[in-house]
Amino acid sequence: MDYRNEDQPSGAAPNEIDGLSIVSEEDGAQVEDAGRRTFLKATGIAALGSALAVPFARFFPEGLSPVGIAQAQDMDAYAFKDQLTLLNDRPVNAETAAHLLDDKITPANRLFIRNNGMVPDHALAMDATGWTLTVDGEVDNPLELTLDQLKSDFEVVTRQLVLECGGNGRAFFVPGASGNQWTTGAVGCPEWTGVRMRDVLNAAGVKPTAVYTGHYGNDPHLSGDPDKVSISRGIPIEKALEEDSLIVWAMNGEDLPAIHGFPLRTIVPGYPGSTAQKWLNRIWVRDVVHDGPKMGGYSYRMPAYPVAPGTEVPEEDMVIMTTMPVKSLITSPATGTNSVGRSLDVRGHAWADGDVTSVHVSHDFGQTWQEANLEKPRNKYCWQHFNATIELPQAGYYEIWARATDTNGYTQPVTTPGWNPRGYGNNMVHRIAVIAS
Amino acid sequence: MKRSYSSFILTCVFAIGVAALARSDNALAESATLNPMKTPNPMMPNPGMPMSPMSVAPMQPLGGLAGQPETGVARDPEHGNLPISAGMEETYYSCTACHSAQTFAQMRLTDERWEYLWDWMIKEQGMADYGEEARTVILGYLKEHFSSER
Repeated sequence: MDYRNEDQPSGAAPNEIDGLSIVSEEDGAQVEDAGRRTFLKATGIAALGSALAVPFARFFPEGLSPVGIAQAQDMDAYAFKDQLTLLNDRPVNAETAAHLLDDKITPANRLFIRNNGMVPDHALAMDATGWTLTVDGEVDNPLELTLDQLKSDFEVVTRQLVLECGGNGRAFFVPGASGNQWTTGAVGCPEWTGVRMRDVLNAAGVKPTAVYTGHYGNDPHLSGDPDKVSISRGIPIEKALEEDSLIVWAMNGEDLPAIHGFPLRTIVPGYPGSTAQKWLNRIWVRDVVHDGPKMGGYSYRMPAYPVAPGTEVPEEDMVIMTTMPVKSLITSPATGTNSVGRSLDVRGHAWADGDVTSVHVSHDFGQTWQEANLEKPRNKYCWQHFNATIELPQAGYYEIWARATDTNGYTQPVTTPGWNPRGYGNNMVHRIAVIAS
Repeated sequence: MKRSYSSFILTCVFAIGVAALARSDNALAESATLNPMKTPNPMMPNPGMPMSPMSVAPMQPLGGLAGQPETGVARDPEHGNLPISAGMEETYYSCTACHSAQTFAQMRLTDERWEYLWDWMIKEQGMADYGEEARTVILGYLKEHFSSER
């Protein structure tokens, strides 16, 4: 796929491309040809041009909207990724196959991407000149901190923390749920460097009236409307004041990549990744549960009671999703590996909202389970590595399953857990296939 | 779009002579009263892919639904590789004003969820209200090709 502007046909007359009339804003909504194609232009590219008064809308080639040019830049910011599965290119969303997550510390080029809007211009240019973080709302002393102030005025911490999209596993729900169809790869565990959110909030002085945070970034909305916010979610103030909720500027010792929130983002381990606001420029401390875009409706919300698959649940019965469920991934061997030995070494990672206490593996479709070796986490909310040697009884086809259990005694279900309208929280057992020779 | 999944459901449902239950406004009551026309059988066999390459991909989404391209339909590379049928161009141009065609082409939703998304995009996401005729055409196309019901 190539979306570069310069590769598009450019020789056509400004007002006529492929024989079709494209209206400019000077022409208003008038089009020369009646009929279906006119409708298409009026509803699509031309409507965008006139509604938003995009300069020179008439020069945009057919099929390439103003947003499409921005899209090409987003894909430039994506180019360093290594073998990710691209689910969407506008907005950019991509996940990582399980065997590509084998590293103990997820490299930046293997970390999934979940964008709600476009990558902002400052990030594409990797230019943080003048960047500030505002902390306001229910605080005694509102702050406006430069990056240098953040880095010098607070204790700098480095933690390895799981980041996982709330919709990871959505693809397995039937009937389907709207949103990116993540299978298992919207997760990673890089090392993050920054400051504790609580240190910054305490410097501002959190008032007793504070109940929630609201996080803001500057990623442009897909509609192109500069007044619209792509996403603004938040967390309960108690979670914001936890030791491991961070404001970070570095991943694996380097500046955040453009597509991951340069120069600043939040990381809220144990919570859905949507609370980890990219391109962070404001934390608004609220006296009510935050009501920014994608806090309400069905976004990152679960039914208050179990529902049958496909149920239309009233919006008022949806509650905000908080902690993520216990989960594991087999990262070696890759699924589909042929000619493995009868003595098979498997390994992977397990994580939860807190610690994982055990991981079990099975080679016979869950009829028998064998406890794997499980390492302690490097720090709280870091994923834990497991390994096991499985003796396969004879040559043939096997599925290897992995199942983690957390400190609360919760274990992964073998099939999808409760269906919900947006397909969140699927922590079903991970399965891979191998042929033993 | 013809799927063994949906036809199997319909065959079973009609074979046992179960009529669709009337919709209730109370979602709790509805969830407690299973609608055989709409509720997938949790023990539904994985249809249509015996001994296929899927056999080495046990995590392939079940039911040939999300992410699995519809088979037996011509596609248009000029329009996001979407299935060619009535409503394709209207859908392509209207939707890609803001986001890629992949945004919707990867989904398999109920009719009600498609209706909801249309309203949500107008109310929350700054989509222009294209009017009833466009709504009927575009939602008809989406429900035909990107459905969990057929």
